[in-house]
Amino acid sequence: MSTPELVITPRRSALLAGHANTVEALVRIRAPGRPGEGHRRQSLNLALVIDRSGSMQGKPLAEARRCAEFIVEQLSSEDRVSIVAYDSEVDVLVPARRVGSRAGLREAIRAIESRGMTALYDGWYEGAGQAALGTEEAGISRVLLLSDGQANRGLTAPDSIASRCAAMADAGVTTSTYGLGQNFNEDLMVAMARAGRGNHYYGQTADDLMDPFREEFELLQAIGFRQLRLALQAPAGVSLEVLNDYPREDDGRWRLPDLAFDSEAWAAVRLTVPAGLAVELQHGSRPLLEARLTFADAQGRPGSQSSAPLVLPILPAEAYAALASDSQVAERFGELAAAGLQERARLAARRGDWATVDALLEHALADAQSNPWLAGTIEVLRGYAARRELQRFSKEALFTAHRLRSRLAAPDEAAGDYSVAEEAARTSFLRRKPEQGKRLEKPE
Amino acid sequence: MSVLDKFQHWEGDIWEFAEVAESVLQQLGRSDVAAPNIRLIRDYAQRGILSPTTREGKLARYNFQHLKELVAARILVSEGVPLAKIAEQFEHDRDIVIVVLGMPPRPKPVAASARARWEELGGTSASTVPGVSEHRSPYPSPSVNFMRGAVEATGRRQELGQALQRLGSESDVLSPRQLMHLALTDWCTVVIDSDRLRSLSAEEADDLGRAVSAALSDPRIRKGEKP
Repeated sequence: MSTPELVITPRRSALLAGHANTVEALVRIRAPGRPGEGHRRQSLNLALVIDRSGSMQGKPLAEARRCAEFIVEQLSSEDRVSIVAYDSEVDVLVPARRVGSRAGLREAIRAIESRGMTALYDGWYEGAGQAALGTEEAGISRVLLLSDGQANRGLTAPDSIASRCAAMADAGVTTSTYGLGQNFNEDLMVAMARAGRGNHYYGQTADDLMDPFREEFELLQAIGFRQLRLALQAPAGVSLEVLNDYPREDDGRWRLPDLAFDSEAWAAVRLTVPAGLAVELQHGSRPLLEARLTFADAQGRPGSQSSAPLVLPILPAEAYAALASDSQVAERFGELAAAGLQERARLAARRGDWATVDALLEHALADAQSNPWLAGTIEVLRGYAARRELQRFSKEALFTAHRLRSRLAAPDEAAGDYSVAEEAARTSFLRRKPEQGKRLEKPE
Repeated sequence: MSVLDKFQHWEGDIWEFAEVAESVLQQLGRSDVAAPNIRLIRDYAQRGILSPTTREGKLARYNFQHLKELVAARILVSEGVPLAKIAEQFEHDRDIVIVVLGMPPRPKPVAASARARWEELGGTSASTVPGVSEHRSPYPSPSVNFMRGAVEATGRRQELGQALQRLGSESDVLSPRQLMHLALTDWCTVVIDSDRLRSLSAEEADDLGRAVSAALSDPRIRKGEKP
C-alpha cells in the first residue's frame, strides 16, 4: 500500500534565544506518483444536477448541456450516473444507473429545455437521492450541482441547505457546486460544497464553464487518498493555530481535502512558544511539533503516517538573524494572509465601502511582490474594484480566497516561479489560474 | 415483494385484524402511526372506510382487502387527511388504497446508510424550517398519492357519467356486476351473475336447466331467429 509522506518544514529552522517565538511551519502531505498501468481509479457515482430555470435560456443552458455531455463521455461504462434537471420542479431525467451505453444519456441531456424558477435545494435533494443508490458500489459518490441563480423555491436558507449537504457527506455522498454568471448566490454555493466536502467552482460566462468541470473530473480520476485527518501535537504551553480554515473534527483533528496522486495537501501552522518554555524543550530534547495523518486509500483501506518530529535549536540573535527564511513556506503563509485581506475587501465591497477595498488590495499587492501568481490575482480584483463591479468582485474574491486556503499544490511548484504557459501544461486541478471564474487561456 | 403481499390470503376476526394491521404498519416503517384497536376498527367499518364483511355466526371476518383499507386509512389519518374525506373516496374507489400503499419499485438494493440519511433529510425539510415548502421526493407520500388519486378519480367519475348519459343510460353511475362464465364444453358457456349464483337454490337450478333445455329445443332459436 502506497502512503503519503508527511513532512514538517519550519519557516526558520531555529528559535531565538531569550524571546517568545512565533514559529511558522508548513505541514505537507505529499502523495506518491500515480500507480502504473494495472491501477484502476476509484469508480465514480455522479449525479448531474442541472439548473434549467428561465435565466439559463440560450448559451448558458447549451454550455451546461455540453459540460454534462463531457462528464458522461469521460465516465467509464462501469461508473454510475444519474441526471436531474430542475427549475420550479425537479425531474429525474435519468435515474441512477451504470453508464453503459451513452446514447440515452446524451439524448436526455440534449432534451433539457429552460423554464420556471430555481428550486435549487429540491434539485440537489433529488440528485443526492440518486447518488445514495450507488454508494456501496462506487469509490466516490458525488452530486455535481450547477446553478446560475438564487435558490428561490422550496428550501432556501443557506445554513439549512448546507447542513443537509454535510449530513449526506457523512453518509458518503459529497457535493460539488458550479456557479454560472453574476447572479448565483456564491455564499450558498460555497457553503454547500464546503459542508458537502466537495469542490466549488464558478464560471463568469458560459464559455468559462467547461474549465471547472474538466478540473473536477480530472481530480476525481486522480484521487488517491480520502478522509484525510491531520492530528497536530505541540507541548503544553505552546499555542497552536492552523491558518487554512480547514474544518475541525470533534476529536480536534483537521479535515483536509482529498489528495490526488502527484500532488501535495498542506496545512500552515503557527506556534507561539513562551520564552522560558523554549529552553525547557531544548534541555529535554522535546519536539516542538509532531504530526500524524490518517486516511483511506483508493481501495478504501485505512492507513496512517507520522512525521518526523520538529525539533528546533535555540540560537542567539546574531545567528538567528543570519538564518534564511524558507521561501516556499513564506509564500504559502503569504497566500493565506492575502486570502484574509481579500475576504475583508469582499465584505467592505458588499457594504459599499470601496475606499477600504482599495486600501486592502493595495496592502495585499505590496505583500505579494515575490509571488507573481498571487500578485496577478490581486490585480484582477483591483480591476473589478476600480470599475466598482460588485458581483464580479465579490465572487472572484470569495473563490480566490478559498482556493488560496485549500488548494492542492503541484510537487514541483517553486517559490517565485510562475508562468501561465507552465500552469496551462499542468493537470487542471493543480493549475494556479490568474482568475478563478475564467478559463485559463493557453498562450500562443 | 411488498410487506403487504404476504398477507394476500390472510383472513381473521377483529382481534387478529387489529394485531396484523399493527404488525404491517411496523413493517412498513410506520411505527409513528398509532396502532388500530377494536373500537377504531368498528368505527371505520361504520363510516364505510372498511368494505362490508362476511360473517361467521355473529363474528365479522376480515380479509386482505380490509387490511389494505385499514392500513391505508391509518397512514392517511396520520398525515392529516380527514376521516370523512377518506370515507368518501374509499366509497367511490376502493382501488385507491393501492395508490396510497403502492410505492414505486426501487431500482435495486440500496446503501442503507446513504439512502436512509437521504430519507431522513426529506422528513425534516418542512418540519425544521418553518415557512419553507416541502421538497419533492420521487416517492410521494401516501397522502399526496391519495389526494392525487382522489382528484383523478373525481375526474374519471364525471367523465363516466357524461359518457353513460350519451349512451342513453338513465343512471350516470355504473352498477358493477360480477359474472361467472361456466364453460360446459368448449362450444357452450353459461354466463350467470355471481351474486345470484351464490344464493341459487336447487329448485332454481333445476328450473334453469329446464329453461335452457326448452330454449335450445326451440327451432326458431336454433335457426337464430327471435323466439
